[in-house]
Amino acid sequence: MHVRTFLKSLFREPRTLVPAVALLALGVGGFAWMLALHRSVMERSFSAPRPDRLVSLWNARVSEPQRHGTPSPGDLQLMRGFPGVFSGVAAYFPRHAALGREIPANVALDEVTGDYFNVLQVRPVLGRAFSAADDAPGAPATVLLSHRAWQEHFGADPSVLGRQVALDGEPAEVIGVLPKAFHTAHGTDLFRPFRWSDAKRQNHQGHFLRVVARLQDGATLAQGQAAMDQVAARIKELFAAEVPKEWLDQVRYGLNPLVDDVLGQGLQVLRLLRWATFLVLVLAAYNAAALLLARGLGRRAEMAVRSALGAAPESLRRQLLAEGAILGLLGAGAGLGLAWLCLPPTGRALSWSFPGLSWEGLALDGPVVVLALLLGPALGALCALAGQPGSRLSDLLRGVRQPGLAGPGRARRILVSAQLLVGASLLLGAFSLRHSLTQLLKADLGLDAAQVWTFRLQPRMKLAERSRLAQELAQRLRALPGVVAAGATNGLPMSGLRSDLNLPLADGRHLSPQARALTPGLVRALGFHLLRGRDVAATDTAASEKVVLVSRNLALEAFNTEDVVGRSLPILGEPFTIVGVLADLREFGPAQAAPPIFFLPMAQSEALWHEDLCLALRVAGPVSSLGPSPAQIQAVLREAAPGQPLAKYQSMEALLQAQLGPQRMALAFMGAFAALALLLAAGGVFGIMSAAVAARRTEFGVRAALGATPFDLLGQVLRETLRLALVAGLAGWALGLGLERLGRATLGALPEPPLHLGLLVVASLSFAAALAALLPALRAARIPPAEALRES
Amino acid sequence: MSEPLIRLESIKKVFTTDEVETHALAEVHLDIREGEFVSIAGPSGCGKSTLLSILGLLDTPTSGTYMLNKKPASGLKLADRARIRNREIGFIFQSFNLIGDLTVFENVELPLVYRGMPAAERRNRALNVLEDVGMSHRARHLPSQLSGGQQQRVAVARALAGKPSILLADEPTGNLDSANGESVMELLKELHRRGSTICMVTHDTRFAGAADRTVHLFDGRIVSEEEARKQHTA
Repeated sequence: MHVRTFLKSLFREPRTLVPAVALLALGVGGFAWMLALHRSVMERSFSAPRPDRLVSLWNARVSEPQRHGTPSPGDLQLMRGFPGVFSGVAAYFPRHAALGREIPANVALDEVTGDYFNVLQVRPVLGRAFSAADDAPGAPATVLLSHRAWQEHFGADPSVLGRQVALDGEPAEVIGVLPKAFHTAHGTDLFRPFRWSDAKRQNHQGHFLRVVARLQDGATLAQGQAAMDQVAARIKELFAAEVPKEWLDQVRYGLNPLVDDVLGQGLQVLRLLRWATFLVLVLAAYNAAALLLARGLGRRAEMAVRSALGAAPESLRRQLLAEGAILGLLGAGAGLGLAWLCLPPTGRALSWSFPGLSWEGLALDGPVVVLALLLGPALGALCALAGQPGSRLSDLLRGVRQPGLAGPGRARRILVSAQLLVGASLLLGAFSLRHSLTQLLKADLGLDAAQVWTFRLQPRMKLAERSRLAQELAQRLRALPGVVAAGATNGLPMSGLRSDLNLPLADGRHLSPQARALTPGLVRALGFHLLRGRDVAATDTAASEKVVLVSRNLALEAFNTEDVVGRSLPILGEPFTIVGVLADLREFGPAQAAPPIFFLPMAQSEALWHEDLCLALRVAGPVSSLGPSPAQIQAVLREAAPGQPLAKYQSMEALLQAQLGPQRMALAFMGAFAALALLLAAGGVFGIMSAAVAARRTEFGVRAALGATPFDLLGQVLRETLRLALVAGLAGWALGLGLERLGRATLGALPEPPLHLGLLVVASLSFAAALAALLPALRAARIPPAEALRES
Repeated sequence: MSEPLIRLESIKKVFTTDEVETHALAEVHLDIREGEFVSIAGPSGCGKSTLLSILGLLDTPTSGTYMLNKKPASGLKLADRARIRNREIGFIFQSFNLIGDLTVFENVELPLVYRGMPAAERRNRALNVLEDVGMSHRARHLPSQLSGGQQQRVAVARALAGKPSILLADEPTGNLDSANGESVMELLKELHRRGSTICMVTHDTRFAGAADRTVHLFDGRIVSEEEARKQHTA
């Protein structure tokens, strides 16, 4: 009977119940959305069994603990010396390779240690995993296929095992296919063992490995860190004679859960979102309770009659609970619909931050739906109990201080202000992030990204050949119609390459700038700003005088002046003459500070790490002009570098946008949450002011009796709300600035937001609050005074 | 004889729900002269409060004529009625109806705020009336810090603050013990002696007798009027 009565009242009295259902839908929908998102991110990011036991091992400088570096093969051997802590320690190196001979495809290849899949505890669905023999020096090349690569490149052929494929022109035997559920965050297609020589295995020079370990059952992260401290101590012992003490003092090794590494900044954004969703749930429930209280206050007489007719308090409470539960169920249904609608655009936003993962088909799964359908009614029942007349919430909203009438009440002011404050903070955060992102896109990067197109090769050749190939490709690209400049480097700005180099100075100090190689033409192609001296030239060959271009900040750090052309820089023991000074370059993206950096002519860059060969070309014409077609570039490659697949052909601006992925994702989510917070704050103002007006009917009646016109009463409610909105807006401004600082700490060096954003937030919030309070204010103005006074 | 301050002629009040009409007042004729103290008595549901609401312009009659200060008070807009209430009428309620979050002083000055009176003048006027009712020493207190009798004194001060033409008191002693009730009645009598016009609804025959004239209502009609120590049938 209760249910039927309630459903009838829902349609008869939609003014209160529909907003309450909508609020619960927002809360439960947000919860379902976050849960679905969290499960998907975790499942799609690293699909090994018991991923919570997997950790990433890294090195870092004591002065820059957040910047995790890549260990060397020698480090890996030391890390394997703690079987009591780690059940296994493996390593991989992600790169790209050409698959096939005639028309090679560019594939993502992970070179791995032989025990890699043992550590991950992943077994192939076809064939076998790598054995120690596959990783031995001189062993025949073998390859494991990801499920996707098996489907895309081999037509899911079950007889693929034993087939020979060409990887970068070298044959390798397919020995297995990995399960469909297994994928890496960077979307690896193929896996191949390193097959290092014994010397390479002990090498401490090349730092390029990503190391993954599995903690023994019962072992803690603290024990893992203690093991890493021992690795650091051992390194200090090993190199005490060769490396200066201050450099060794900076050596640090550490570990963190693998998922943190895989998801990077995006995971921090997701963690912030989890809190935001929880906040939304609490706010929504609280506002729904306030709305139910407004309804309950209007039903006091009905409840009194039911009680007088013999209804036991338990029976009345059961009725309230049943009504709340139905309301919650309706809210949960609507919330699930909302979450279902929001998940596809969420997938798009996630792809900005986690481009290596597939976000297609992001959906609500069974457990999420069941949890939401349980949470909704429970929350609704709780709201109904909290919102019954005579409850604590009711007392707070009425501001009971008998004798005397209920007044505006400090508690009510605090409750409204708290919501508005949250709304203001999130709104300011979103506005600031949007502003910061716009500023970042306009920031001086030290290069001109417009009209620049880039692609990447991975030729397996010696430096002299590589340098010749780079110069020939640049020359051919320059001959294409519309191309005004072209050049090559071993790592494009913002491509993720980190190559710190120890640079001892004459005065005993050590710097660790980034080191890159380039060919003539790259400075012009990328629009680097040459502040002093000259660019590198074709005459800067392996046999000529060793020359170097340095960034302005490196010049200042090393020599305390920009005027360094002609001075000598000792690079790995050899003097290089500085021939040019470039403007500071935001090598790691617009959100990161520009690191000191130097560029060697490719022909003279024997000392540097060469994996990729990146080409950049600048086209003439309007900003919107397109670069050469992929077919034109492929034609150049066929002539100059047969067998090399075209990879990552994209504009420099796209690369720049991709660098801002976490920021863009944060902005999208923050924007959505700010809109939601504003909606909730408005809903909260509506709910609380509705309940307050209902609770204060007698007061409004008295005021009317004393001569308040309807306009006075309307103005009073609006004034009360606006005053709160103004105070909350200003407080939210301050809080938002704090949040925004936290955001900047999370998302990199974002510019400070201007003052007018705060004013905009206060104005927006006040407007939304006034709009939300309008209906309760109109109700207050229309209260018939005689009736209200009779009720007292 | 002077013109009455209030004149009700053939006042009817009918409350209509979906299918039922309730006649709360029928053919009520009533004159209240300036300086008069009238009490309205009668059993529950006889229409006393409805009559007081109509007199106080809180409600409108279904038919009939209401003249206040020689001006028709029927057919006015809500805002005009509020303005007249503010200037011409002072209310005293059974449950005091002080606003809990406002101090005694703020409660008293509230009608003057709605009148748009300058702050300095408001302050003087509010302090004066609080002095008159002997509550100036409690001006900064909240209603919850006062006894019932003190609260009703403040309510009287609030009713007086706007210097209204008439005070309408609805069971002013109904929520008070006998000593406080006596005290409040003494205050009303004192105000009457100083020239205030008072119309009071009361159940209490002890206090009804304090008025110059008692009007008896029954089933929405005036069944008798009696003057103090001199009784006649209407």
